[in-house]
Amino acid sequence: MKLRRVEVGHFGCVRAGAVDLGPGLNVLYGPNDLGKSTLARALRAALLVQHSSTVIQDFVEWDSDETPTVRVTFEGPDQRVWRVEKRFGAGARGASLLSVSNDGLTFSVTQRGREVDDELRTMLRWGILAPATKGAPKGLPTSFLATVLLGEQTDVAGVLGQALSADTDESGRAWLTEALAAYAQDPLFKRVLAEAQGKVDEAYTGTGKKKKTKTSPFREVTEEVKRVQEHLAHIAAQVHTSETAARELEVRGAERERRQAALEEARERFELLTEARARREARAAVAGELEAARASLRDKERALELAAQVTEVQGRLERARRARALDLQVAATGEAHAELVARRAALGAREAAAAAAIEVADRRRARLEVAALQVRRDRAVEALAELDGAQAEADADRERAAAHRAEAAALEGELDETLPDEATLVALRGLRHELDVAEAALGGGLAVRIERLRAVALAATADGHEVALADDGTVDVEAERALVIRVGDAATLTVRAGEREARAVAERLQARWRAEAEPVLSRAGAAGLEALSARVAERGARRRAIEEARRAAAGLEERAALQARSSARRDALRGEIAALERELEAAHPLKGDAADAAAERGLAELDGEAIEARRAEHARAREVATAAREEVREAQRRLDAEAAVLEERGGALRASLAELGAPRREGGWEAEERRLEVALAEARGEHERVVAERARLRAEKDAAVGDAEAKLAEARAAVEALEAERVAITEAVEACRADVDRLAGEVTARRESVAALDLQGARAQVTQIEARLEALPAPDAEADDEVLAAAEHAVEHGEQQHRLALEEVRRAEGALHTVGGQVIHEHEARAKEALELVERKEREVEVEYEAWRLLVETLRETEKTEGAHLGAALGAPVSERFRALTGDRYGDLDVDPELRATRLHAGGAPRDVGLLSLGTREQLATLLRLTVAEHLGSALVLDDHLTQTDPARSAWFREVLRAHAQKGQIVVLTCRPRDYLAEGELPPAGESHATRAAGLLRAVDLTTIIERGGS
Amino acid sequence: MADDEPGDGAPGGGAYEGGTTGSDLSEEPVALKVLHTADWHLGMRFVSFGVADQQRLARARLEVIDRILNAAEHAAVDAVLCAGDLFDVPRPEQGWWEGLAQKLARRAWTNRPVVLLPGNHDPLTEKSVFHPSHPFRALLPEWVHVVDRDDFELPLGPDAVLYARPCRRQSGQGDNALLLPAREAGDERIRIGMVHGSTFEMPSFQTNFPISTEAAVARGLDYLAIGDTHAWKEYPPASAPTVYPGAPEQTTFGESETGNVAIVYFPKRRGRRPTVRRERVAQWTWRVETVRDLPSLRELRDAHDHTWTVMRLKIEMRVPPAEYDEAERILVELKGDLARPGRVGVLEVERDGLELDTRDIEQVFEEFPKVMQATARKLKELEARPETAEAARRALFHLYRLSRGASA
Repeated sequence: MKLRRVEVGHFGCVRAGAVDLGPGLNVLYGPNDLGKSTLARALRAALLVQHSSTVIQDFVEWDSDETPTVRVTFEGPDQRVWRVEKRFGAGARGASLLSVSNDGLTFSVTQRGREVDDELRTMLRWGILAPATKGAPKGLPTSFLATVLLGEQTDVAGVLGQALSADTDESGRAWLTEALAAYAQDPLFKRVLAEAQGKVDEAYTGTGKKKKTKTSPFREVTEEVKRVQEHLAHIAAQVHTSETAARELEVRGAERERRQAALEEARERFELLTEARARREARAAVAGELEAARASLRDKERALELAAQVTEVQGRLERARRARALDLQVAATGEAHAELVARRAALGAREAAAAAAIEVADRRRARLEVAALQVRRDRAVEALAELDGAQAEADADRERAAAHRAEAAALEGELDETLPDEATLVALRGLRHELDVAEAALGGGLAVRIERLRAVALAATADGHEVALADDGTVDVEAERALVIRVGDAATLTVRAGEREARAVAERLQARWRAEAEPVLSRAGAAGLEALSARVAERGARRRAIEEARRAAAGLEERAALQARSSARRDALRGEIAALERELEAAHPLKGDAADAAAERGLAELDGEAIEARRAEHARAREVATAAREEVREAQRRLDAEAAVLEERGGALRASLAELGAPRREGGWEAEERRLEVALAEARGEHERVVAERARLRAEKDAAVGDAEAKLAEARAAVEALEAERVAITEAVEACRADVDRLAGEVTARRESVAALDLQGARAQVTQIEARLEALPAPDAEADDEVLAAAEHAVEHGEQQHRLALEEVRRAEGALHTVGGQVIHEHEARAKEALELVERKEREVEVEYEAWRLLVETLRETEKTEGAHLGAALGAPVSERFRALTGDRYGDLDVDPELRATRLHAGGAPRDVGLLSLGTREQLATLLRLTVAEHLGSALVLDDHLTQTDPARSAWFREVLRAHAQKGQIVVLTCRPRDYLAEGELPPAGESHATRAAGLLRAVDLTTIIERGGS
Repeated sequence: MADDEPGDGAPGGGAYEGGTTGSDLSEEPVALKVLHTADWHLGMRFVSFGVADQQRLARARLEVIDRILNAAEHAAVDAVLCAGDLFDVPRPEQGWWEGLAQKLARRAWTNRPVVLLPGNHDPLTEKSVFHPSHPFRALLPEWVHVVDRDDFELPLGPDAVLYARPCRRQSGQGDNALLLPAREAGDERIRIGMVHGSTFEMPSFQTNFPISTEAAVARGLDYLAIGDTHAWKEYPPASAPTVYPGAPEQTTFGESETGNVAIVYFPKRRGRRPTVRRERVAQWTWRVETVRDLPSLRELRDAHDHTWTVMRLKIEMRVPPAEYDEAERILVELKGDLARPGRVGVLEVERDGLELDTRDIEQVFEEFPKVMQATARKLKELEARPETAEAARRALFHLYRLSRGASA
């Protein structure tokens, strides 16, 4: 930038003033308090301060309320001429305009208002954020370049200590970097740093905080973490509820179990007490049971012993009885055999008689069959004769039928087909009747007199009938309903009687008559309906006669046809007769006795029904004879079987006897039997006693055994009664034996029962009961009723408590059911996993950008320590000039990367710049400003910058500034023009300015152009 | 009722994935075939993944339904039994139940009933998706049955019957299987039970509708179809197996034996054990891979097609900068970026174990300017401090990569 003109109005102490500036060194001089610094301040205001800023109060003219205005014309970086105009004031009083010109003469406005400052800051690149940007400085903004190029008069410390990093915008650093080419020595470093810085800028703000904007890499992952955390928190709450419910369930379950245990304990105690009582009673019962079992055992042992004795005696008795019975049976077998032989003979005779009877029956039946054949043959012959006669009648019928049909054909030819049918005739009669009625309704009487005035042909009809008219004179014509008079060919006069409606009806019916009846009558040639009716009746009679003749012919033909069909029957009859003849021939002659012959008499007279009856009679006789014969044969078979059984039985008996092997005793088997029965009676007596004793014992313990014993006693009584009877009635031994056998069977059964008395089992039972008795613990508590009742009450209380606990468990279960259980745990597991993953992602992002930041910091630190930075680039030329200024009194100036002049080497050691003298510092600051301006090619405004400098160094600076004027613009505001200008370079008297050195040196007397306010 | 010989889709009838247990049906006439599935978890959210991956995995749960129904058609089953947790929550968003209803309605099935059972994730409540008043029910074809009664019974032909009992809440202590009706004397039909819950060896089974593995025998069932756990599992006895078919698409890492349905063949001959065939229907495979060196990482990239893989990749290796750089590039290749899809369908990388080997870092930076070398040295010093170690290693890698890139 190069300034061309500055115009000020009502600004601070300056009411008005305008200065044109040259491209080189511009020395604007004037006495103190003229407004030189105000001019510099106006220049800063125009370039840096918004017209509505709060700091504009400082700009207001001291003794007026006019609006301060500044207009600055300058050459921009694009070589075009720009002009900024600002009127400082709030609201409508304030305004900003930015104009541009290509020729430096005519300007066009490009921006207004705040956009002017935006454009200026972009154009100037002084490191100041545009006002529209968030974070932009308010009031008079500062930056490194604003301070260096346009700093205030006394701000030496500011110039030396202003850090580049304090800039609100990177544009100043960028411009300086470009200008100083600080990184040119290492482009790789530069690129790496730029890229790393870019990454850092993605994630962090200028103050190093994480960005929260939409483009921030942290935002997405942070939001994701937050979202998952919220989701997990929501689920965790549900899990908490679920676990609380589960714990509640667990607690309630434990409580329920505890109460159940208490209940069971109470029950156990109650049962223990109950059992103790029961045990005591049981011990007594078992002891009694043991005693009874032992008695039962003894009883069984004795019963078994006696039963064995009875069995042995009974066996012997049985063998004796069987031997005697066998003897008797052997004897009976021989008798039975003889009887069988006799019965067999008788049966032979009966069989022969039956066979003879069957033969007679067969013979009679054969004769009967012959007679039946003869009857059938005779009937067939008769039927054949009848059929022959019928055939002759059929022939006659056919002839008569032909005659009838001829008659019918003749009559049919005479029929008049022109006549209408009966229905038509009836319809016509109806129509005639209706017409007659209608015409009768017209009847009223008509009378017309015709007077003939001249000769004219007259004709008349009255009621349809022609009326004869005389050829002359007056004629009276009368009619009932209609009168028609025709007067030659001149007119026809029709007169009708009756009312209009009646006439219309009559005319309609007349029209129908003409249309329907008259053609019929015409076709038939009938004069009227009566004649037509007679003819139709006659035709009807003729048709009936034709019908009758045809019916008669058909009847006759049908009968003849029936007769014709009987010819097959005749043939069949002839065949049948021949067959019967042959059968008869084959059946003769039949043999027979006289009785048969007598029985055959009259057979020829039998009819079919009688023959069938006789045939059935013969069949029955034969069946009877056959049955008798079968009966005999069956009796013979039974006899044979009986004989075989008898034989077998005899053999068996003999074998049994041989088996018994007992020798025949003295006195025979009967004596032996009696002897044994006595022994049996004795044994039974003993048995009775034992059984009675056992029954007594058993009655106490076993009802079933008692019952058996009762039955045994009953059997014993029966045996006794039987034996008494046997003694009394020896003839009834056989009968008694059956009873004895029965009773013996019962005894056997009882014996088996006794045998089933399981002696071992009884002994084992005794042992078992003894063991049980031994095992039964003695009651350990005295369970009286009071204690037992208390225990029972405890059980009831326990049950109630358990029920309550169970209800609590159910409630807890219900709560758990509504909050999720396993499902919510699954959701929690998923959410935890998700959170873990997104947190890992977040950590990765954080580490990633932390790494970038660390890289940038490390790069910058390295840059600083390794000297490859902006400060080093700037420090070198400044140091060089300063050494020249001071005659090498001072060494290098340390300028840090933020372009702060920190130390100055002197006397072999670095010295803090702040410790230097004010003059030295202002000289150092001026050199630094000059160097920066030189590198940037920008205008530099120096406002009385060397007030503390001695003349020698001032002279040195004058030369330096003049040399700089060759390359860049400098505006010096001073009250000592001689420090910069030679005598001849000042403007002539009365002149405001003077330009020398081809325009590169311009001297301006501000007293001639600044109008101070308030003076 | 099927009355055919094992043929299409039957064991021995062609190539198929999965295993078969039970009778050898190669010569056994089949009386009934059913497809048994469970744990669809429609509407499940995969919040640990990125938005795009979440959508893919969530939609996969609905997409697998088509493959299940195709398997049912291919095997010509007589019925499809869906044993609970078909939705992840009782009241899923409209898209899920509408999508399911549409998929079912597209099938022109009339003689193949589909039975949907409410599980503990989607219990039958007044406002749940399975309630008769929910609009989902109105969209279902008439051959789709919802188990909305405790005494649910559905004849599967003249000789077979299904008994089922729904979950009515998210947790419960009752054994629904033991509440199914017992076989009555003379009942010779094939009896199938269907309930949802945890068998006794599962964790927290006590409050998650516990199912006794003896229930099938106790109730006289020929087959007990259950759902809940996401892994395939079969329980004896042989005569009446109890089967978890598992989730048809895996739901998270660490699950095993997932991605199947069970196709069950009931032989005509009474007393023969039904044959249970496992058929894979899943499209996605979930894998956890750990890579400990660069060649393994290269092989992982090159050796397999991971298009339908959900992979958790754990990197555990300490490598010098050049290999570190390659590893990073391979990870980008596997994961994809805005411009290109990755080689892995869904990739989750645990890179905590990927460390830069800085032992020879000075040598690595020898070729760069001194200022870069000095920066590397300083970063290495920072790596020695625990609080900056991780960031310093990462910064070193960036410095290396940028230096390489910039110098190139």
